[in-house]
Amino acid sequence: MSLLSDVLVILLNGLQQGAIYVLLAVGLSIIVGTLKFVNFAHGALYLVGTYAGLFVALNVPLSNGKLAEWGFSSFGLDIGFFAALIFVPLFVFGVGLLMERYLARAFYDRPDTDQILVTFGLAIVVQELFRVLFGSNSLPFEQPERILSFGSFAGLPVSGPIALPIVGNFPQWRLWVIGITAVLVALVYLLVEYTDFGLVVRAGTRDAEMVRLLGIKITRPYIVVFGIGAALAGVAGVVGGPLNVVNPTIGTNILVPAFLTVVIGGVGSIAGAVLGGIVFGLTTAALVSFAPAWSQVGLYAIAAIVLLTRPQGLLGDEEVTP
Amino acid sequence: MSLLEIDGIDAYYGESHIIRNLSMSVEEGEICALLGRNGAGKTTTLRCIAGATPPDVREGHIRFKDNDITGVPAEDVSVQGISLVPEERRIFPNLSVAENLHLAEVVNNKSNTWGRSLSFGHKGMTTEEVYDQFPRLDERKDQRAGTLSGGEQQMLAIARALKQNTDLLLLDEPYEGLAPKIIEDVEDAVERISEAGTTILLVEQNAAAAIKLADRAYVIDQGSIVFDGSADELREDDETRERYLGV
Repeated sequence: MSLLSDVLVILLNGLQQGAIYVLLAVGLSIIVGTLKFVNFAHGALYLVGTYAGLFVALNVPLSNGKLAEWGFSSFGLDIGFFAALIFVPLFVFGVGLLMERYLARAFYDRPDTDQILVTFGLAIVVQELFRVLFGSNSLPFEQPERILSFGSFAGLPVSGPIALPIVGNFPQWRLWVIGITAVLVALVYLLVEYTDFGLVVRAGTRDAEMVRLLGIKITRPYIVVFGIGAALAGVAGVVGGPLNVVNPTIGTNILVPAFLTVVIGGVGSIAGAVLGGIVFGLTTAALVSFAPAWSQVGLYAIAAIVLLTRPQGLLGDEEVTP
Repeated sequence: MSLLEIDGIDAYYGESHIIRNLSMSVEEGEICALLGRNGAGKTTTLRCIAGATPPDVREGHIRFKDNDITGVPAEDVSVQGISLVPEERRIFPNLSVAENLHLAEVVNNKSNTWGRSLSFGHKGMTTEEVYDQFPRLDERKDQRAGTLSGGEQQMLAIARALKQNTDLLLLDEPYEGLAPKIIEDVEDAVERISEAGTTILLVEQNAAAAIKLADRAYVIDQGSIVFDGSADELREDDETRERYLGV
């Protein structure tokens, strides 16, 4: 083990950890930046994504909670991880649409504190609902071994170690997480930068009333933005599930890092959310290796430094306020 | 029938009563000026017409092409053919000049028109026509709009309005903060737009400049109309000008 390979391992682990933050922060950032809606239930969408991913991909035994009491000894469709990657984002997208239409929309004109109270309340309700149904204990979310296996085609191996130059063996799944995140974020970026939908969203971030004065019904792009943000949180749940524990508190636990990522990157900036996520991921990975006791503090220290020196965030625009 | 008829409206910002029993009309093809001091209620009147909230219109009616548009949301007023060039221009500084202009066409996208009836008399200008009229914008089309000078930003705001399918153009203080030379350019643009058949309601504090272009003028004070007549009549009515316009 050379120093170089150690550094590269930390880099890759950091990118993987950062990828989860990025997925959450990009969605959260476009919701906060465009809709000016402070969504403390974003972590709950991650929670829903994780459990939905577990449900679609695997079939896990249940021993705790109401579902087990009601006689369900196991939970899941067991139709594979790739199916989860397709269906869960669609499902959480739908959840996002409902949330925008029936909850967020009523709060757009109300103070941030009201938005925080109602969404944090919702997050706790969702968390406790999952606790009642599945119990407080962690469920096993195994890494998928292969994806896309049909009939005689064995599929692509995605778990286990892969030999990389210099680094040596590295868990393959972590590279997939980085890759999936990069593709999705690139898609969202293209959507926002190069389509009329994105043009309306970027204009609306600045001056929603002027967009409406141009005859554009902004409620439609808004609901789609919320759906996309939710779907990204769902993907984060699916790809992050096998790397972390799965229990009802993961949503609230991930909420603060996700918000910090948005804030240090700059509210409303996709590039900022990506940069913020990578910075956090690398910091966490480095501290876990060199000073594990400090690994939880790192995020807050970085957030404090960034906010003291650049209050609008690393790539934030001074004139956009959430 | 007038193109726009306002019939006894009362409008509020929260509990502040800003517009009091205001009636006025704008005839097809004319340039009509709405003049008054700062705080007299000019911008509020335009916002009422354009469907922007606040203010909140609690009494009276606003009719456009004989349709009642009182309380109709801004996006639906816009597709009936009214464009507002607001105070301080409100261009999107984070978008390029070309993107700012393109935004005025997005209203025609299927995703936006679905379920709504668009009923314009005029077709909006094409991007080429707009660049013909405003060559400066063509030169700067890839630049962020926030980096343009004040005069260029005003041109962009007007150009954007022209790209909409507009029958009635509401101009809110188009000369504000501009150098005299640039004011002349804006005046030329307003005249060309008027000659092309678009009706204009021009709101200004700079009464002298507005009267020069206008066919008719209203003077507003404390939320009510206090003068109504031709531009020539206002030019000769020293008392009204002295009392309400300070000129």
